[in-house]
Amino acid sequence: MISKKYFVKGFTSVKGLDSPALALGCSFIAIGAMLKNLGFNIQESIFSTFLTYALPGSLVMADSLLVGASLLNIFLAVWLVNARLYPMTISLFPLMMEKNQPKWKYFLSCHFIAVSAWLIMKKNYSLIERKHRIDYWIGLGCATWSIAIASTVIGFLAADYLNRDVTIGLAIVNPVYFTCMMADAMKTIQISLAVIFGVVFGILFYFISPEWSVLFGGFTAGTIAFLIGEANVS
Amino acid sequence: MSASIFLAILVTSLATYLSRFLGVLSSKNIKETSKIFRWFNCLAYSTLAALIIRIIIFPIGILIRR
Repeated sequence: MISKKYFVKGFTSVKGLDSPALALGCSFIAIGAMLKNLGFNIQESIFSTFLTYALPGSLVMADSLLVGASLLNIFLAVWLVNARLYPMTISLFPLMMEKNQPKWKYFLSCHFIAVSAWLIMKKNYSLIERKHRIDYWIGLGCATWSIAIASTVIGFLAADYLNRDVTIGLAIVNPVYFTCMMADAMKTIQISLAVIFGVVFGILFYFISPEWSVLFGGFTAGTIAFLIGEANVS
Repeated sequence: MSASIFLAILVTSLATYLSRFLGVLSSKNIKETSKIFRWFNCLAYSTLAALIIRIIIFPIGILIRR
């Protein structure tokens, strides 16, 4: 079963000064308010954050509902914007793989992969013994997930008091926080270049295709950063 | 409206979980010391950077339209 000690350690890791709790909370308050304005009831809003727990995905879903897109269109649009979760999973889960740990832990806890928890885990994994990493991750994921769900409820209830500008302000806190965390993560040539190229190509590709800019821009940027980094090492 | 909201949420969560699930499947055969791991590490950071810059500079419709 899950080791309580490491679960608690992971769960409480969001208490720190560099914690994502506040920024994450702000953004999900914005989501909660937005969903209410879209005509969701409180159960549907909670259900949405509970099941999806990836902010850009929820934004795209809301946007698609607003323009009356078909379910297939919603699926494709959300898949496109959340496909980044695939490389994110592959760059995290091999660090936590342990033969003696049951598989269900991995398949359930991959639901927690979202930028906040991912950035913290990437920062802290080396401090945790390998066999305990998955339990720490589950704790951490439960913490960020709970914050997201609670904030959705707060945002839903407070929707009438939040005007458009405040909602946008709240929604933008998290991306700004992520930018700071990314800057903090830029410790090797490869990661630094990946982030810098990602910004540059993300913008350039946006003018070619807004829908595909994240995937194409990210793929090009990451591959170039990788090749330059490898060439430098050898 | 309610039924379509319910379905939209389900479809959204499936589309999101799909990438996470496939990521776990692929992770089983990838060693953290391998080149492919370092490549995916770069891809993760670069797609994140591309996504964040997109949200900041070109907000998705709903944030500006509401």
